[in-house]
Amino acid sequence: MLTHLTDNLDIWTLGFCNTVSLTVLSFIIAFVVAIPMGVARSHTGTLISKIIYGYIYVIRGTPLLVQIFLIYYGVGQFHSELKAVGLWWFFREGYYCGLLALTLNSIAYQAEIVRGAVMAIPHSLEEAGASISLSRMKIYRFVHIPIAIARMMPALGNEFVLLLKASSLVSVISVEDVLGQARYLFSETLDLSVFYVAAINYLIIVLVAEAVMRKLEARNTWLALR
Amino acid sequence: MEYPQVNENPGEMVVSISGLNKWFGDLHVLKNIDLEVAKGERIVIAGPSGSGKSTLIRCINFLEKYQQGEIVVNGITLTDDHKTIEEVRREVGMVFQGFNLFPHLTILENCTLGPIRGFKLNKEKASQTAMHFLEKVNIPEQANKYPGQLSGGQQQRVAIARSLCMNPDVMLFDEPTSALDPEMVKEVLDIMVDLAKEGMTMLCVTHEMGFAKEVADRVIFMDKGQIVEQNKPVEFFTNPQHERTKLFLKQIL
Amino acid sequence: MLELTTLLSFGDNGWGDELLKGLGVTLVLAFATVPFALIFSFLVAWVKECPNRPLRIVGNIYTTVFRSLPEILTLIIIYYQLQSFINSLTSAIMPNFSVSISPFAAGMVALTLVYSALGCEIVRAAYRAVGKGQVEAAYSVSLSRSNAFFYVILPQMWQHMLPAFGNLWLLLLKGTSLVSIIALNDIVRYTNMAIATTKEPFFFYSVLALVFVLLAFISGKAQTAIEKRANGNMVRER
Repeated sequence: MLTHLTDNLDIWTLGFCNTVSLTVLSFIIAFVVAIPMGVARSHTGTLISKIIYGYIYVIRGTPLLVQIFLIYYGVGQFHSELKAVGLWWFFREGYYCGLLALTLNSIAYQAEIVRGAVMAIPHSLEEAGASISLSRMKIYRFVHIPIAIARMMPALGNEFVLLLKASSLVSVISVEDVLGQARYLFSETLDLSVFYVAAINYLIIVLVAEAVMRKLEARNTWLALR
Repeated sequence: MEYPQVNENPGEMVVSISGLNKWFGDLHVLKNIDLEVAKGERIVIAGPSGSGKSTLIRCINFLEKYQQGEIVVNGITLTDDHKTIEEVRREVGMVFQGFNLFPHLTILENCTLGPIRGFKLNKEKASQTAMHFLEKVNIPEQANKYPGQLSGGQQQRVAIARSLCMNPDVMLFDEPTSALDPEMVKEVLDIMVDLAKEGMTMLCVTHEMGFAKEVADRVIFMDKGQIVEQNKPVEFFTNPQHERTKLFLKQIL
Repeated sequence: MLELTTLLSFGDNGWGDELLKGLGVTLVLAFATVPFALIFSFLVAWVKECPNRPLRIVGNIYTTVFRSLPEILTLIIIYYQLQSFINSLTSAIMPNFSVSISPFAAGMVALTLVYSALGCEIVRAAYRAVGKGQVEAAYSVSLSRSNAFFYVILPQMWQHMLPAFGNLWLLLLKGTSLVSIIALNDIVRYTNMAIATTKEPFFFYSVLALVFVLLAFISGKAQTAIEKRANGNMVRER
């Protein structure tokens, strides 16, 4: 089993880097987009909140595999049009399509996390902040945002792990991530153990990510004490 | 006020505990407890919180494991064998601080579950018995409601009826009025006084010293896992022997 | 547009009947997995709570592994490993005889493993939510351990488990799409076949997405109805 790893170290390294970069990039981009979306969604009843809910409903209701297919093959169907607007370089690449699909997918889940955190902010704190003469901005900066972030942390950590696992699906559009490389090596060698090497790759990333999350969450023990 | 002793056979012990020791990890919560409870005897156990009084009565129906000592209930020696434990639990009724009624069952079903499933009584017989005891605790009209629809005092009375349905030889009360609003304490205590009058063997962990004065045959004072002193209520309240008892009574009365 | 909708017609020219057949396979797979995933969820939860330490460690490894691995990787490993395991078993007994394991069976095994690792946490949380007091009360009226569980604890657990299990059902439904990768003729695979012939990926994948959204919608409605029934007669503490 180990010889598969040592003999093809460059292949595995590339796979590892692609998996990590896909996960981290889509997670961060999605987070940036999810913040305004989640805040907008927390104002229930507005049109924009309903539109965002529709988006979230569709994304959560469909398999990521189908979303990936739709972006890579479905949108790719219009390659002449895409060429005309100068986007073909993006949609012809499995990596970019995978990145887009993962980002769009994660936006939906992270927006819900943001919404939950925003709605859980205790508004009594506004009065408390005002009573010690903090401005509105300062109340946001020093009271609301730290509480919201602390509340989001466990859910975000969970989402990161889910996204990492989900990233393996890009192997079906021939991206050379960990699973993609494993499938390639399997087709070359017909040796099952390459999949166990892939499994160890994922286990290590997940365990490291969870350890980091525990470290970060340990700073928020006050949450559990309330 | 003294109630007549209903005990026809004064020598008969319903519960006898000897050399009981229990640890929670390193914490020694029960230290060499010896206690004999005669049939028909009413005992009140008092003491500061954390003194081990709840733990003691929870050992009697094996809700708590203990490491040393022997407990005999109605001639059955407790072991960790499941059959024996179930047998002992049939002899022992228990009323909890938090009522612990089954929220998914009606009041009547709460009372019949034990008899039907525990000792295979038929449903009709069990319902009859249950209604009898629900009348006794003055809430037969609530039989088909769910616990969530009742007040705390009503729930605790149902809990007493539920225990009585098993026809136990001894009743354990674990701070039965501590979780109740003040105006509901009396309705539960009244039921307990009635039970005492009828000669039920009772072990009550409670802070209701009025109840202790009225019905107890014996008051046991526990502190730091030990029985510090025990006496008749009159003696206990007017002439406490031990420093710790005096301190406790000063704080509580 | 008219031209596209004829692609969905039933019959020789359209793919409607094939897609419906695929949808049937998808649903059968999902429904067939549910009882196994449910039973395993309880089993693993029990193992993780039992007093036996080695057994608990096994339970923890089980959940860590199957929650960390991508579902698709679990599926591939189960598919090929089960195949080679059975082959080596049969060849030892009967050489020149090979059994092939169906993608459906492999899918069921893999989905059961993955979703029971998630489901066991739901079971444990529900057990805790019911509370120790209920167990003690059940024991105090001399119920045996199994009677206490089946008549007192389990009925109360459903209320806590149903929302989370509804969520898990949606995950399972979507998870079945992965089985198309190991060549099960589910709705995703039939869609791919349709696209290979018609060269209309955007249309067909959109239809596929719509089907899944519809399934999610129906599931949501069913879940609300079931929860309503389960909580109907249970009035919570005031």
